[in-house]
Amino acid sequence: MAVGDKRILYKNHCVPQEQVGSGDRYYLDSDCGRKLTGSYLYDLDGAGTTATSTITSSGAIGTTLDFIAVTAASISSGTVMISLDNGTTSIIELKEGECFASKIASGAQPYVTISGTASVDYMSGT
Amino acid sequence: MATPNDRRIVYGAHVIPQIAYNTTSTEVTREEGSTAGRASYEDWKLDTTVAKRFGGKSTGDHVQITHDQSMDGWVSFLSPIDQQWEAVDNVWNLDSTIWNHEGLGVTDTLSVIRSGSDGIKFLYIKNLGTVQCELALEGDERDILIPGGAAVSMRTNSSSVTSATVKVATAASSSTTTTIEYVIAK
Repeated sequence: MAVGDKRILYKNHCVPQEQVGSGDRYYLDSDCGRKLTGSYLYDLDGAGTTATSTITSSGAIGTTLDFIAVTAASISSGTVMISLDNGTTSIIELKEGECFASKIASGAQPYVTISGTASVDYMSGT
Repeated sequence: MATPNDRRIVYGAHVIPQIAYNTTSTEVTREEGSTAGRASYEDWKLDTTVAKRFGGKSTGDHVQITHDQSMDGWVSFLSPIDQQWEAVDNVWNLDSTIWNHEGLGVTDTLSVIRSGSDGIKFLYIKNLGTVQCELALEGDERDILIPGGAAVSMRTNSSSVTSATVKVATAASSSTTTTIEYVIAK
């Protein structure tokens, strides 16, 4: 590595759970049997990252990006959706406090649709 | 088996943008010529451009999914109780049985993971191989990339993402393959 090089460490995880009877505790879902996680250290090949941005109305995140992380910092009302085709088809929903983070194809056009009152933070890598 | 009273998925993501920098040297030369402390070296710290970590986790009811998923194929794992008892000749008190990580083979041709056309409420995919996996959630646009070892997890918009629209492949015409594990819940 050299001074100024950048990389992004990201992890995604999930825990499927099931509740047998009303009021019971939740257990690991018996169809799955374990917690699931994956991580990746993404080296940005001489390229950079963008400063954290906050939006409160619908808008594009950027173009020719290789990585995005989007967090619904707060939602007072309405919904927060993400599309990767410049807002035409919303495919991912974020509830308050949730985050979507992934490498994306450089041809994708990430767009956040806010209907209602919400604050969304995002960053990107190229 | 009985359908559970409730099913949900707790999920989260964590992102640490990093930048390489030179540490401050603490090296000193003592009277007799020997050194103490540590010379400057290259290390990683939080990316000063982004200036924060990103992350989040579901809360409250988390992602509520349909209690009866209708099929074992909503996850890529094979529970011990899913095995056909009459097809197993092992002596059970001598046999240790665990959940198998079956995985799903992926080729360079886009293919659906789950049959049917149900709206999908949650999706998790981890790439178990070394070749990058590509994920399309609408049309055949391979917009989400999953390198080897990485995973994606998301609350999908069940109005637009259905079993029929979730497709995976390796790079088009690359003649490469990989294996994924997944949770695709309606």
